[in-house]
Amino acid sequence: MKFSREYTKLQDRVFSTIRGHSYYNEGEVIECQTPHRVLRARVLLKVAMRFRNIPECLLQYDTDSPELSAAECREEIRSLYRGDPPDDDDIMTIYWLEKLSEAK
Amino acid sequence: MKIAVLDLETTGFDPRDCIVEIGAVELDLDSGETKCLLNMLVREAHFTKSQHGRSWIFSHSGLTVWDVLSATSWKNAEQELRWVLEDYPVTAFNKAFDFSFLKHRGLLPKRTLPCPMIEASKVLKIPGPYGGYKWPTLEEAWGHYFPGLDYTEQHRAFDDALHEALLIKAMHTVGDYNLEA
Repeated sequence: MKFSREYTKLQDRVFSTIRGHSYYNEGEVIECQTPHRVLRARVLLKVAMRFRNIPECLLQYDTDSPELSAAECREEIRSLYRGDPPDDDDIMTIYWLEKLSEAK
Repeated sequence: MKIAVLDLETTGFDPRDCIVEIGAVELDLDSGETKCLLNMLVREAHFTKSQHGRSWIFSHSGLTVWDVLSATSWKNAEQELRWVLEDYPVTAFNKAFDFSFLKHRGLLPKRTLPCPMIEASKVLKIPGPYGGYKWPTLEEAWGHYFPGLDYTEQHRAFDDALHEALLIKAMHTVGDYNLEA
């Protein structure tokens, strides 16, 4: 799972991330790649909902932007997609990940 | 297993007060998928501006009296609510409160599930003023299961129900919400 920058949330033992796919399952151990490091993390929790319904606090946490509204956060997330950014009606997956170790 | 999480906004604590908004979310406890089932403002026949306009809900949420006055009638809302109550096992955060309003209107789910507020109280163990553990607020329970995610309850039915659904999913995943409790 790729992260485009060193988000503040990546310092937390448990952090969440919003994705347009649902590749990973609860209990699975995955690698999280940032521009500077690789973390191993376990998927603790996975939920799916329409983009427009994702609670504001989760959107703000995801984008490191507590000052933005939910709509602004969704725009911020859309800007990270190169090809096909999600519409408000698209189903998104929210993963909660528990950091296990830093690989490098 | 798919369940429904219900939330009602009302003009007071007594079941004879008015229901003004209904929110319900379908939650698949296995996949974590959620879906909006109900998100509707309702106007009960006994709702009036003079009698209910100063209710707590109108000063603690984005809801206005005018929203309710122009909302769909209870008769229309009741039918949609009835489908949810028939099709899903149902719960609510502080189930006793929401279900007392349903019962007063002759409505009850075919199958009910444990109350997540009661189940969370056993985990959070917040001392109560008279001994024992107090019932946690939704924000307190949220803060326990989602530390670092600041959540302020909107007191809007769908938004509250969605947060309750996420809470239940987290509780169920870590073994704190047993469907048979």
